[in-house]
Amino acid sequence: MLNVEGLTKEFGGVVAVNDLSFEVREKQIKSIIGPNGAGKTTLFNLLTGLLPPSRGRISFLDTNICGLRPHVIARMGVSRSFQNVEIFDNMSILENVMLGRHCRTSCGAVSIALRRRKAVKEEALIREEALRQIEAVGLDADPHSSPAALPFGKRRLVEFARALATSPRLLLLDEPASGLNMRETEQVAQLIRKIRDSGVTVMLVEHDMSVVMEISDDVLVMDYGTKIAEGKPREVQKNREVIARYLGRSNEYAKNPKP
Amino acid sequence: MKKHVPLALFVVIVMGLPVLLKNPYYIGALVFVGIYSLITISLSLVLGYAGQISLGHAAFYGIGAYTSGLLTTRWHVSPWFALACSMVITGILAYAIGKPVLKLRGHYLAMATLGLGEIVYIFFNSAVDLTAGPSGFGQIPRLAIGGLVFKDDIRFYYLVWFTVAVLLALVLNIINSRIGRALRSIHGSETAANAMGVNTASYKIQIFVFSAVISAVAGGYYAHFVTFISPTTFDANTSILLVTMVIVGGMSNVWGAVLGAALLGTLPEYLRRFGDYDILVYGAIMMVIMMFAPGGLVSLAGLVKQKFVGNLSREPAA
Repeated sequence: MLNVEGLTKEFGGVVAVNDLSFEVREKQIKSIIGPNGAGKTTLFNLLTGLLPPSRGRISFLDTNICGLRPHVIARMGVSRSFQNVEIFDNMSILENVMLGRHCRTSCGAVSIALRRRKAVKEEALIREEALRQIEAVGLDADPHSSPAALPFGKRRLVEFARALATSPRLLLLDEPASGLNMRETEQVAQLIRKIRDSGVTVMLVEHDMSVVMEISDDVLVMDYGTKIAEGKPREVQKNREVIARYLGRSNEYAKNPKP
Repeated sequence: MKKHVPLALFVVIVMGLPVLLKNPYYIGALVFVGIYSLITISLSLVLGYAGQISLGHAAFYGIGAYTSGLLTTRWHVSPWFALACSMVITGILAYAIGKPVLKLRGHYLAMATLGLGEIVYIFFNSAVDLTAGPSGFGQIPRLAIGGLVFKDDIRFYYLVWFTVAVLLALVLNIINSRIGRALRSIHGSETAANAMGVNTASYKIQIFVFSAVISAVAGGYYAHFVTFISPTTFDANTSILLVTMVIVGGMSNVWGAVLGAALLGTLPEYLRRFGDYDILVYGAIMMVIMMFAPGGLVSLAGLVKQKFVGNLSREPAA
């Protein structure tokens, strides 16, 4: 469903993503791993239109999305979470998630200002769907409260729920397990699986190898903006270059790949 | 319908105030509060909701006033039609200016809008042939509906506050909707808003133009109420006063915009007893408000409500 060909992004003289090509198939979980500064987050920013690529082609569902603005790409069905959790602290949890429905709803200012029946109905549907997503990600917090006071792990769940509320076809998760404890990490891993099983394709940038190796269908390893390996988790773990450049020889996933 | 209570209360207060205030002088002061409220309500959408600073709103207020004033005095256009023209012209100008300027953020946007205000102010002063320059011009006709001429303070009071009530009703519907959330998301994180499918550039320009058009209405009202306009009414001080009203009232709530306009619009009247020191007391009051209620006056109202009605967040916001 996602086809990337020769994607390149240069910042001045620095090549953050260098002639990268890969494919993501429908309903799989594809992980992007690699050392810090390998260009993983830049890749996500290119895929979601937050950065314009220098060269290359990104096609999503057979449409070239290169150069499209982020809100258009979101409307096409690509949603994401951010490494540092970008939720809106000036809104309640529920409103955060309701915002996710924005691109799936269409009532204009006039019908909203006049409270036409269409607008009232749509607002009720938005609320219903948002509450459903809050429940789906397992967030137990008062939806009318501010997310500012939530612990980090729950803030991340708010972001997940918001992304899911956009009804994405492809969901990009940027380090969903960073900053989480082991129990929370396990919950997130299960949640990602559940999301995939519901029919959403997932791309994942993650440093926690237990998560990556456990849930990925496919792993792409990047370093210095280029692809150094791609394949099933087990294959990648055995790859010499990946071990040398990223996993390290002492890594348990490098030594004894899990069955 | 719980959510209509504040608006209903507002209408009752607005209707009742003239009965309680015997002194016609105060009614005149409240007309100005109403005119300011129109601007601050729409400015709070730009400033408090979308998080975009504008230090040049007096320009739109002025363009509205001058367009309406000039059309009626020079070309004898009917006042209502002139008011409509001033809305359209201000809207077009705001779009042309906002399109490039709203790409700027934070301090840069503040500087650019301040510059816009200055340019318009200088234009009012310098284009003497058109605007009569610094001395201004008078004999602007009054608004009238049929035989009802809005010629005295009390009639104009009802006209202005009726407009404020209508604006409030519309704006309150907007802010609790997908559009209101989209505006606030721009304030929260423009990147995330974009990635979630909000066309932030478009919303920023739309709300900017909307508030400019409402400011033009306020300007037109001013022109037809006072029947005399000159550039000083629309200088940078006014722009800053408007922003201050929004902030002192409470940026994140449209009711705050009305409270701020009411307080800062009437405060100079109360402070007359301090003679030459009035401006010192004025400054001190603002400092105290900002120190103890950084969320503005409306946050104090929130505290009171919490104390007497119970936690707001518990009530289902349906």
